[in-house]
Amino acid sequence: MKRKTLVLLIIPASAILTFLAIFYYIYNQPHTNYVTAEPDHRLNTPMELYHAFLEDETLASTTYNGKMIEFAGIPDFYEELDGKTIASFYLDEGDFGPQGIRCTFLKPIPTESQQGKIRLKGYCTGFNGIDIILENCSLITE
Amino acid sequence: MKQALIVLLITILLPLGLHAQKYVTRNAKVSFFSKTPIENIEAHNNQVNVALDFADGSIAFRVLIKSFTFEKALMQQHFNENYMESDKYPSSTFSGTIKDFGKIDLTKNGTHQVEVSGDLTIHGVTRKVTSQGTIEVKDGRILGTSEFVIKLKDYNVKRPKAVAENITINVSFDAAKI
Repeated sequence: MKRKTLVLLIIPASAILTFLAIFYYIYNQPHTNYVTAEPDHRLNTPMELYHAFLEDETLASTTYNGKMIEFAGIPDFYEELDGKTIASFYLDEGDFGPQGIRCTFLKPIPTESQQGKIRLKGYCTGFNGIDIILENCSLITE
Repeated sequence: MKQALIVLLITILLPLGLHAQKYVTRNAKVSFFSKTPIENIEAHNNQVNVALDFADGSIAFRVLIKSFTFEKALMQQHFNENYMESDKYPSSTFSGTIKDFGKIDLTKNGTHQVEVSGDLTIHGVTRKVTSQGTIEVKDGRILGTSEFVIKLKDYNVKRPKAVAENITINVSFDAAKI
């Protein structure tokens, strides 16, 4: 009788603990590892992405927003902000100066790497009317 | 002859002067906060374009919804998929004017309390909003802050039970002259 009561207590307690563990895991699941994430789209140039948004923003948003994009090119400008490096590709001239693609890197890029052509991948969050924004970018070593 | 010269100079210089009153930043910060019994909900977006034109006092910004980052990945996922529907409504915008912008002397450092009003579009719904803020002229740059308190139901955004009806949206920027 005592053993039966113990079993009856252990089963629901185990179920509750399992449920709590699963809930805790899901609730605290880590963000996507953007460094190891495979690109959804591999493009040849930054212009390819920019043109897609210029030609049909709705279609491009459906295709690229929320996706990992990879391309290679020579950034026109680098800046440091909040401990991160932002590389800008200027592809057009707008009312508020040059516009194109802004890529925010997860980590600062050493100055020696800020020269010439780079290959990168990043998470596209969309077109803000001036620039296409890529977040959580990382360099791809060729 | 003298009058003709003055008119000519005004014609040439006026557009240059107006152009010089445009300020822009691509690194404005927009964040929102909501206190819940379980956990505070807070998200940040540091990739916001803000454009100001002191020729007419206009101010505009566009915020990409997917650029908001949360501490918890699950919260970020639910925010995008269930509440803001960021695939359908990828951005939020504000377009308005700064009241009494003419009183701000852009040539002198100083802080000014301002009232900003205009159209705020969230989740595909546009509403008139008015907010208080500050504009600081600092060494030729414009630093601004403002706070908008919105009701989620006004923008047809579903609300988790634990989340308060009112959400505070903070905007801050440091814009350079173009």
